[in-house]
Amino acid sequence: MSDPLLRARGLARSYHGGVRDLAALRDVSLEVAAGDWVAVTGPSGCGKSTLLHLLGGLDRPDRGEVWLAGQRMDTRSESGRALIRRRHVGFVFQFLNLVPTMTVAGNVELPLVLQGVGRRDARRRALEVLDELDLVGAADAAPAELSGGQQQRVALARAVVHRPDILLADEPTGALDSAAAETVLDLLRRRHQDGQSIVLVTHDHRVAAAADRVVTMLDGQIVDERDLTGSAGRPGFGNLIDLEG
Amino acid sequence: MSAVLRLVRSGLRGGNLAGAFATVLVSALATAGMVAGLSVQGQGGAEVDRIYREAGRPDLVVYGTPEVLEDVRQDPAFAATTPVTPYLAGVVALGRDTVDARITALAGGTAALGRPLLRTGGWPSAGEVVFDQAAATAAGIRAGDRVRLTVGGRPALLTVAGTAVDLTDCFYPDCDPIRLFVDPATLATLAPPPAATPTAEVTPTPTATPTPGAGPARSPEAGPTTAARQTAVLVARLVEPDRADAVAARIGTRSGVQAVQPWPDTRDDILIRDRIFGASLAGFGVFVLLAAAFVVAGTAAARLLARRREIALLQSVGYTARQVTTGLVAETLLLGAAGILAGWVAGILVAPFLQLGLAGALGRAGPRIDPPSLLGSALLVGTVLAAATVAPAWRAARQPVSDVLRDAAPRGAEPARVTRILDRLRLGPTYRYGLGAVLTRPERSALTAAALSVAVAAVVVGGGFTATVDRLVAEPARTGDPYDAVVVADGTDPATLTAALAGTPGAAGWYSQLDRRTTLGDQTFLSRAIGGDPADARFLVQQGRPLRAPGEAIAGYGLLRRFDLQVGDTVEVRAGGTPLRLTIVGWYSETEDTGELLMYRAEMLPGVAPEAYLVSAGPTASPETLAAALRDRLGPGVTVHARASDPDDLGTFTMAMRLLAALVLLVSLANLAAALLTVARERARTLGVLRAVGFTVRQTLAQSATGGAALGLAAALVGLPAGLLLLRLLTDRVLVGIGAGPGLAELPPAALLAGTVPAAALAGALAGVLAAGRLARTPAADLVRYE
Repeated sequence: MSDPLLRARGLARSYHGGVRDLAALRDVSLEVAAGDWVAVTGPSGCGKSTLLHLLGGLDRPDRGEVWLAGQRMDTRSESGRALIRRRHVGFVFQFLNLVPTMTVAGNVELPLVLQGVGRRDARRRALEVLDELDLVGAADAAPAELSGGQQQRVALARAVVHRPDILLADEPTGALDSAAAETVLDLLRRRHQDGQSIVLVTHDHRVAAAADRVVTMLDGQIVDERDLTGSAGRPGFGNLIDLEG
Repeated sequence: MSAVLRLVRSGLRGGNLAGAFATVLVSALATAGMVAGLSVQGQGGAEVDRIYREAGRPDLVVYGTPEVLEDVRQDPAFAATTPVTPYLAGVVALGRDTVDARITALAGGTAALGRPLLRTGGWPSAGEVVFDQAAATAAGIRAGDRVRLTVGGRPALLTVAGTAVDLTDCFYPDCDPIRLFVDPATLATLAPPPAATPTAEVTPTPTATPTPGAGPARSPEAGPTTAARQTAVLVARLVEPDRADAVAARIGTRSGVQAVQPWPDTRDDILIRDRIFGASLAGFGVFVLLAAAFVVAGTAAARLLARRREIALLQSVGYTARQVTTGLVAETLLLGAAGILAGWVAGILVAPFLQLGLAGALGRAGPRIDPPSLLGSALLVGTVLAAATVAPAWRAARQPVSDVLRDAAPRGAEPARVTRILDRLRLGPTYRYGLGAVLTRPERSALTAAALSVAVAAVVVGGGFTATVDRLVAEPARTGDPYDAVVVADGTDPATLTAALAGTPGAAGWYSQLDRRTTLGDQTFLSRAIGGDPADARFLVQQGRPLRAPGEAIAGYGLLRRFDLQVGDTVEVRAGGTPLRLTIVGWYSETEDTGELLMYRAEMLPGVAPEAYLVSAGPTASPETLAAALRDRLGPGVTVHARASDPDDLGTFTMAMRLLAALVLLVSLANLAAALLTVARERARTLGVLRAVGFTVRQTLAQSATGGAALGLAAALVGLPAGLLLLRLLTDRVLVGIGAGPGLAELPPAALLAGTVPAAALAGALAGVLAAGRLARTPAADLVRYE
C-alpha cells in the first residue's frame, strides 16, 4: 500500500487564553490519500480550522507530525513550509481570500509567478482557469467589484491554477448564499473528479455530504469518521445526512 | 455635543498609543522650534532696549578733540550729555592675542547717562580697572585677575575690580576697541608723557563685522583706537531719539569731530547675530511644522484605520459624518494642545541657551515667559493639526459602514492600472507586490513620501547652510575682509610702514584703509578710503568690477538697498568734511554695518594718513604666522592683530542647525516607520493569504522593504531639488540680511548630495523591514484567522 498524500499523527495545539491555555487540538491523527475528498465538520470552536492550518503548514503543532507528499512539515521553518505550500497546496478561506490591491487575474497568477512561471504563461493559465469558472470577463477587475460568490470562485481558481497535490478549503461556502454555495461545490466536485485531493472544513452537513469521507470533531478531537463512498445514493447538495448517529 | 465628546474620550482612551504619542511629539517639536527661534529673534531686542534705558538712553556718541566736543555739547538737539571725557587708546592682552582698548576715567556724579552698567565686582580704585563684560566673558577674566595694558608703548598691570557693559559701541568680538574704566588718578598714571603723544589726526579703526564668520573684531567707525591724548568722547541723549541718524549726519560734518555713532547703528550691530540665528531657528521651526503636518496626517490616518470598525459601529447607531469628523479633529487638537504646551515650555527654557551674541555681553538671560507666543504657536500649530486631520477624518466618516462591519479590506486605487505599471517594470514577484502595495495607496504613500522629502530638504538646507557659513569663515573676502593681519598705523610714518610691509616674510600684499562717517542727504553711513595697489584689495565683487581709480566706488549690498542705488549710479557724498562725487562701478560682499559701506580710492582724501594696513599672507603663511612676522618686523611699538574668526559662536550656530535638521529627519523617519506599520497592519490578512499561497517570510519582509525603499527614493527625488531651492532662498535671505548680498549660497558637501538618494532609499527599506518585522514573526495561521 502506497504512503498517503497527507498524514497527520498525534497533533496537539493550544492557544494562550488568559488564565490557562486553551487546547484547540488534542491528539488528532488523520490520513488523506491521493484523490481523497475529506470533509472535516463539527461545531464552531471544535478545532477544524486549526487542524486545516496545521495540515497546510500555516501553523506548527505543539506536538505531533504532519507529512505532505513525503515531506515532514512540522519540523520545517516558516519559510520551509512556505516553499512546500507553494508547490503542493492550494488554500481557500471563507472570505477575504483575495489580495484587494491586485486584479482578479493578478490574484490567480500568484502561485504560478511564485513558482517562476513566465508572466505570459502565468496569464494564459490563469485565464484558462478563470474561463473554466466563467470569470474570464472579470480578469482585470478589482476583487471589490465582484460579488461574494464570484470572489470565492476566483479564490478557488487561484487555489488550483498550479495544480497542487491537495486543496485545503476552510468554510469555502460559509459566507455564500445557497446558489453561490452550490456553484462552488460543483466546482470542487469537478476538480475532485479530475483527481484533485481535497480537505474541506465545514460546519454544514450538506456540504460535508459531498465528500468521500467525513471526519467529525468535537472539543479538539476527532469523534467520528465515516466513509461515504460506499453509501447508496451518494447524497447531493441539499440532502441531509445524519452524522451524529 | 456630548456625543462628540464621547467619541473624543473614547479615542483618547483606546486609540493607538504610538500614534497619539507621535502627534504630541511633533506638535511639541514644531512649537519648541518656533518659540525658541522667535524668542532668540525678539528677546535680544527687548533686553538691549532695557539696558539702553538703564544706561540713560545714550542716543549719540561723538568723538573729537575736547574743545570741539565742548562746543558740540551745546547743540540744541541734545536733551542731556555727559561731560566731555578724555580717554586713552591702548592695547590689552586677551588670551594669546591682543585687542585694542579704550580706557576712560569714570566720571563722578550719579547721572546714568554714559555710565557703564556694572555687572560683577565693584567700581575701581587706584590700580584697578573695570573690564569690558563681553571681552571678560570671552577671555575668562574675573574680578581679582591681573591684566596687562600697553598705552603709548608703556606696559602696565591693573587688577580687575569688576566687569561692566558699555553701550557706546557694540560688543566684543563684533566690535572693538573694548572699553576699560579706571579712576581718574589711574588714567593720569597710564597717560604717556607729552613727547610720546602721536600726531595722528583721527583714529577710527578697521571695522565691525557683526556676523557669524566675520573677520577681526572691529568697531563700526566708532572710536579711535590709537593713542591720541587729546581725544575725548561725548555721550548725548537726544530730544528726538528717532532723529539720531540725521543729527549724527549733521554733527559728523563739523570740523574737529572725528566720528559719530548713533544708537540705532549700535543697536543693529549688537542684535544682528541673534537676528540671523533666530530667523534661521524659526525657519527650521517651520520645517518641523511642515514635517509635523505630514506626520500628523499619517498618524491620524493610522489611528483612524485602527478604529474604523468602532467608527462604523458608531455610525450604525446614528452618529453623523459631521459628528465623527468633528470628534476626530477635536481628538487630534487635544493631543496637539498637550504637545504645544510642552513645546512652548521647552522653547522658552531653551531660548536663553541659544542667545549667541548677547549672552557674553549681557550674561545669559533667564527664561522669558511670553503668553502671546503660546497663543500664536497654538493657533499656528493647531491650524496645521486640524488641517492635517480633516481629510483622513472626513474619509473615515464616509467609509461604507457595511464594508467595514464585514471586515472588507479598504478599497485602494484601481488595481488594473497599477498592474499595467508593474507589468512594464518587469519586477520579480517580491518587488512587484511590495511596490504594488505602495502604488495602490497613492494618497497615503504620497503623504509619507512628502514627510520624508521635508526631512531630506531639511538635511540639504542644513548641510548647505553649514557649508555656506564654513566658507564665509574660510574665505574672509566673502565678508568683506580680504586680508590676514591688521597693522594699526598708530601714527607711524606711512612710507616707513609700507616699506617694512613689503619686506615682511609671508606677506603677499597689502592695502590701507581710512574710515569716515559719511553723509548722503541727511543720512549717515560708513565710507572707507582704500589705498595701496588696487590689485591687493581683493574684495569679492559680485556685480560690476573692482575699484581701480579715483572717482570710482564699490558699495556693499546693504548700501545699495538702503539708498535704492544701482551699479553705474553716481552719488555725491560728504566723507567727514570732504565732498566726494563717486560713480559706483560694482557691489561687493560686505557684512560690516550690514553691508552699508562705500569704498573709494584713498587718493580722494589727499594728505590724510591711513589708519590701518591690511596684509594678505602668501600661500604658506597663516594669519598667526603673518602677524608674528609683522610684529618682528615692525617692532613692539606697532600694534598687529591676526585675523580672527569666531569659532565658538559659529560652532553653536552650525550645531543648532544640524541638530534641527537631525530632528526633522528623526521625526520623518519615525513617521515613515509608522506609516509602513499602518500599511503592514492593514495588510495583515493579505500577508497571511500571500504566505498561504507560498510567499516566504523573507519575501514578505522584502515586500515591505521594497515599499519603504520606493517611498524613500521618491522622497529623495522630490526633497533634493526642493532642498536646494529652499537653501538658495534661505541663505540668500540671510546673506542679504547681513549685507553680504545674494549669490553666496554654497551647495552641501558632494558626499551628502550623492548619498542622499541611496540613503533615503535605504532608510525607507529599513523602516519597511522594521514595520513588517512583527507580522513576519506572526504565524500565517494567525494572520488569516478572521474571528
